[in-house]
Amino acid sequence: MDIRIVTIGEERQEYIEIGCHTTDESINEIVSFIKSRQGAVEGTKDDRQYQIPVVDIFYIESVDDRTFIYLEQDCYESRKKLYEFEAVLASRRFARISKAVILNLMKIVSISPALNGRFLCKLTNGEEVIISRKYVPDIKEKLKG
Amino acid sequence: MKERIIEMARSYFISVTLINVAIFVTGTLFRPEQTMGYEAFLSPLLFGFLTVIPTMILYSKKELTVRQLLCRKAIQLLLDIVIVIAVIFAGNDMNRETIIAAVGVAVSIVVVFVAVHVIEWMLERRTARELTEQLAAFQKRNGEF
Repeated sequence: MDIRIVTIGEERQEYIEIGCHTTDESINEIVSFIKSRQGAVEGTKDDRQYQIPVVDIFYIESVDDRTFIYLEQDCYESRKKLYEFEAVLASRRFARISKAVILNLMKIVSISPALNGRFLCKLTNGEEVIISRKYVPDIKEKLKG
Repeated sequence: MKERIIEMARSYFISVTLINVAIFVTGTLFRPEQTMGYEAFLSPLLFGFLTVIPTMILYSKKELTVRQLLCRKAIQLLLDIVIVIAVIFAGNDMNRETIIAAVGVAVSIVVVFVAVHVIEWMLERRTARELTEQLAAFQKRNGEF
């Protein structure tokens, strides 16, 4: 397999592109490795521990003092509290959207009005989550940055 | 709390404008011969204030579900009707004319209530559109693997 590294200008977004005939297990391993290099958090599912790449997280929700990490289809539990995730992910593309939810802004498809000054976020996996009125100014600020 | 106050102020001013229209319509229909003094200009402000008070029931420490919010909105509408009718018709004799006028007032309250929510929804739709555009720009800037 050929490996090419191209230096690009500062004005362009850095990227990794893989040219392959089919997306097989070895390609998936490379992808997982690259994702893990961008940060990972620990999560539990069926009594097994997993390293979850931060970029794969859709949202993190706190329900009755338990914290759940939602991916496109899977859900993991974490021992960390929501405020701890908030601190860890502050510099990433995540934002607090309600008392109980931290959302990955890169997973939103569209935002529409919900009742009572709230907004409904449609995610890339089809799920919908609510943005509380209180957090809208913070989200606007984050989107500017 | 600040957002709640801004929200209530916005609802108040929209309500006052629409109450003016409602008073004009119901007055023309039921009491076209009525003449009033300058104090009549205070009644939309007073009714606006009275109908904003029941919005307190929308306050909750926990994020309300859409169903819970709709239930509370229904209660809010009911309270609006009871308060306004009690203020207008307190001390009046319960005759056919009073009942017809009360029903007319109740209908106009429902119309104003719905109109306020439609206007608020339109304003929120504009905010949602702005957020979606800002989000698209944000995602383009921060495209990740």
